Amino acid sequence: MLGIILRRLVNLVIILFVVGTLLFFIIRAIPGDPAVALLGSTAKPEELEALRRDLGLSGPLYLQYLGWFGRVLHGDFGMSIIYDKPVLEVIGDHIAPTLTIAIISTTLSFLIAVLITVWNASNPRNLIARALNQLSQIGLALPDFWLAVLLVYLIALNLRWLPTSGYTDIWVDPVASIRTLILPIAVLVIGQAASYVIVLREGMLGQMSQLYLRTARVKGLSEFGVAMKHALPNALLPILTIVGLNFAGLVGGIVILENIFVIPGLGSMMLGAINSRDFLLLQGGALFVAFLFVVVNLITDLTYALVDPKVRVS
Amino acid sequence: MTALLVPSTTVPRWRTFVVRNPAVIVPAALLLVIVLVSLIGPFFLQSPTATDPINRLQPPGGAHLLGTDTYGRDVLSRLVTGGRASLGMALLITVCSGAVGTFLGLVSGFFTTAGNVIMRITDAWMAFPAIVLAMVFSVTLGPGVLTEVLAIGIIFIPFSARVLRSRTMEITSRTFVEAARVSGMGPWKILVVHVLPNVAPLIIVQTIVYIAATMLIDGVLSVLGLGIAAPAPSWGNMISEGRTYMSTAPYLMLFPGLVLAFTVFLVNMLGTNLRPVFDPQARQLKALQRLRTHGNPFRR
Amino acid sequence: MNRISRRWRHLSVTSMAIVAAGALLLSGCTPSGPSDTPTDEGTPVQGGNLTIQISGDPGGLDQNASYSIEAVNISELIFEKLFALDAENTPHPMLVDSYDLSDDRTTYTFHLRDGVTFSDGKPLTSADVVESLNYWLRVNAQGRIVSGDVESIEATDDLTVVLQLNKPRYPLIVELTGVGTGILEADIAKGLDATGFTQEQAIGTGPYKLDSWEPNEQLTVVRNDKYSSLKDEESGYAGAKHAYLDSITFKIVADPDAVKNGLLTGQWLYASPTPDAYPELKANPDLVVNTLSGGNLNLLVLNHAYEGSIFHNADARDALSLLLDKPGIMAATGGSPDLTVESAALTPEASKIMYSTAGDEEYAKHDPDKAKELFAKAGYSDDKPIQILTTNAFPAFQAWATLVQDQLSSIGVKSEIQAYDFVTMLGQWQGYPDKWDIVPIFFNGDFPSPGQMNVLASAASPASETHGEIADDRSQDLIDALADYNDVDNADDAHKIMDTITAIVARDKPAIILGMTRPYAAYSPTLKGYDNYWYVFWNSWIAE
Repeated sequence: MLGIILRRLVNLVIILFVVGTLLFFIIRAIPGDPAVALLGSTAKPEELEALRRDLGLSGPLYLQYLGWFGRVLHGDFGMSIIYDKPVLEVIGDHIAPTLTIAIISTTLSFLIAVLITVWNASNPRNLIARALNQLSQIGLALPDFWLAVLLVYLIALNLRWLPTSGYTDIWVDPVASIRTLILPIAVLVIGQAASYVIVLREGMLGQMSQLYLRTARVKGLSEFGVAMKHALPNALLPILTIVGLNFAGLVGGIVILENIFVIPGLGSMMLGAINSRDFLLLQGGALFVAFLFVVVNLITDLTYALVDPKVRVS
Repeated sequence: MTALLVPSTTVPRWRTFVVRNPAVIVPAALLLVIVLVSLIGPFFLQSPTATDPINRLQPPGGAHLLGTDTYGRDVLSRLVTGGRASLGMALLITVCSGAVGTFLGLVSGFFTTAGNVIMRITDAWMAFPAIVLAMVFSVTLGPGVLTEVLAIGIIFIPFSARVLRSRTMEITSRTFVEAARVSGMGPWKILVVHVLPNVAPLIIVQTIVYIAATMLIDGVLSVLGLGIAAPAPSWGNMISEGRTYMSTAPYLMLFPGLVLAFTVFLVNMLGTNLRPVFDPQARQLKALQRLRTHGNPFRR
Repeated sequence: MNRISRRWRHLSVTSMAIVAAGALLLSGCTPSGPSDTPTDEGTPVQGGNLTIQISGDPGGLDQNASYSIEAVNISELIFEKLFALDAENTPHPMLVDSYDLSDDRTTYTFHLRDGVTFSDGKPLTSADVVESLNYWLRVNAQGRIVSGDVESIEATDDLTVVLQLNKPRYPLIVELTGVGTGILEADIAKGLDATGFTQEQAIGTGPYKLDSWEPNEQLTVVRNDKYSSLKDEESGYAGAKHAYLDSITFKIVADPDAVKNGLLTGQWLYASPTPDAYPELKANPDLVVNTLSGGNLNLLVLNHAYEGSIFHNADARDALSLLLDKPGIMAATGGSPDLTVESAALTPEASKIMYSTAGDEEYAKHDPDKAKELFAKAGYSDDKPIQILTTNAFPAFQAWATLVQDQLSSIGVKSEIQAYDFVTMLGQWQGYPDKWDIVPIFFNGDFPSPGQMNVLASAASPASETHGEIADDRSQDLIDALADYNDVDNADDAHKIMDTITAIVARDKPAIILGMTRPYAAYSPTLKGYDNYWYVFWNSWIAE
């Protein structure tokens, strides 16, 4: 087990190195001079050059790269132009909304998917259960930004049940925070839960027909009991990785929902960074998202290994 | 399991196939209708880009069956023509990324050393924040077909490669491959003659799953202003343009959204129901399930 | 502290002077006939916080470094200028008590008001004024235009400043109400360059001061208790400033839907939605919807100065103008006739001196057949489609591009739309004259003098990295007219020259003017005392 962890950790470092390097060069390929973006075209050439020097954007690209990487190794991601703060601090400021949404929506989707699947597996002929399965196919097909606009219009604007947009920190004002979070989370849950249901159901159906469950049934366990106690734990394994990856994906990728609901999260931070050519912030943010992705992936894989002895051996 | 390993003979002839698989045929037929309408329809409708500012934002009914948009363009015509762009892009992206992914998957599953190197690369590849990549491409190249193919295609390649790799490894360990090897067949020939036909069904199913995902991502890119450039219609950019008018002209957003959702639904159904046909025991299920969900990083 | 840490602004723009997210650049002067001023507002209520939606981060509060509408509007609450325009569009002394002008019209002597202090308690002195104006002349695009005429600025005593010109400049006092002329403390203004002052240095003599700022989220100003108000009656941007509100919070919301929805549900009391939303909001009985002072000059900039562009040829420029259905194009993006002025006038109507309809005859000509002929005559060929450069950051620009493309195709002229993000588009526009023929855009129409108008500046395409300097191809009569304007000494003569200038622009067509769009705001009826002058919230209050 320890060997696996060590090997994976080395792997992780390599991946981050590769990603960081690629990120640097890809981002620097973006046209548009940050100095011009900042000063406007009326600026004199010497003003532009001075600014580029200050931003660490002058000199040959490979030297800039080496400098940036060297500083990153020391935990210095540089200064954000937009925010006039260290990049790490800016990421810290924007991580809370995104993380809150990602955690809540992932957990909820997972629980809902488990409930629906278990119910469905223990009552395979129940009409509502079957309908829910079909619904999940529809949930998977709905464009989420489209759904978001629709929900805002119906629930926030017409019925006035919830605010149309905004974000309040959950520790500052839990009630206001939850009210603003309901709609974005609902949109995410519909899509996510749908995909989990589909995956889980296949696994559950496979498990429910396994021979070993006959014993359980013979022992008098109800279908529900069988599903919960025996089929579910086995069917949960394959979905763990998906949940993990989805979660990591959410952290870097809810740009549009953040925009529609005016949530100051990581996605909108990076969009802003691109639009104003805040390269250091963009590099830092993207590297952070990659880091999170790799770590979550590692955790799910380790959990997998812990639960499933077969993986440990191989 | 063995059924899949012998090429061609287990795939039912089309007649029995149709009778036995309504769940495949119905979505396939409906999709065919959608494709045909979007291909042929524009010839019978007015131009989707002809503007008419005087008659802007006309509600559905009358001269314009589905109304007009903010420039006075015919929504029906845009909807039908937009299908070409949306479906065409999805197909183009899926085929491009599928080809590269398949190649990488086959090679990495068959050759051990190359396989390990490729897998390390795909690890890093997958960790790369897709949305950042898409935005960078768009800003660098400007919105357009090439940008979309690159931005979306690049996301799918590593996932596709991974799935193909595990399948390839599995098949490579079978006796008939061993036999071919012993008989002196070259590795590339084995790959093409023995391995490829056996992974083909997986490739097809995977392609279908990606088509659905791609169509949704195309919509997301449009909303971010990175998708197919106006004035050419796509369902994605119609939704994106229409959403400002949700309260005054809801049809502008509703119609393309519904059509997009319905099409994605059909494609998904086709993919789901086609799987057991190719592989009654759905052995590669897990891999695909992984794909279906996290293969689409823009989904949320 | 290195220089990076001072870079707290977002995305300032360019001399081509537009925008930041969602609005026009405002030069903060000419009040231009906002909707009828409300009467019977009740008694002012002291206190409270007003929440206002803005479309983008101001990017800074220094008008010489951040050109966004948000930067200008918010900084006007914090900084004051020597003069401000009143409701009659006349400069009204603000920090100046009085001024004298010598007989040869070249020496201005400003007597500053006594007892004015900055929000940090330091008294306002002539040194502050000298350094602030020098900063403006040194760094600001418009200031630099003025600086050629300025011989010297000197403080003769603590409260007297003498500004010496080398030749008369008629619009000078109005120009002193323009962007970037706010008065800073001398020791701050002294060393500033184009990157502007820092957040900590945002200290002015205005009725409000900066309280907090989270970039891209919100910014709050609070009442400046040290503010010394004029006793004159409030009028336009000038006069007494009561600062009834304790604080004003600017919430940064870019998504047009979110802007509108938040207004309808009371998340902010005041918003500037897109023109599209105007009819719907105007019909809403729970909102006050009024046009504001100022106006956007919507135009298609043509690459006239670059020899490689078809529009270097005057026939092609005429052809495009004859082809386009300008009112139709305006209607598709203007939202409502209330917001649209169909005219080739370069400034809003309220700017009495500069508003001119002398170009309207040319503007109204519409003859697609003739256009087709002229395009052929100008040497148009299908091998070289017309390039329309635009940005997806501004839906209106893209809309115009779409409509222009469609109208061009109706006479068989091919065109291609290149849409980039904003920064890339600016780079293409300014650096690569071979990459574009038409740029649809809006400029602020609210300039203090014709010499500062973008359309009239030398060559629409500035120096480029790839093609070197591009020659000034303005006609001699335009250059002469601009010089004449500075030389006049009364409003009537100035107005006549504006007629000439407007007619020349309509004739030469460095850009095709589509029309003017009036900005508007939508707000809650509980906001009282607001006269629809942009940022003039200092005499507003929230009814109980």
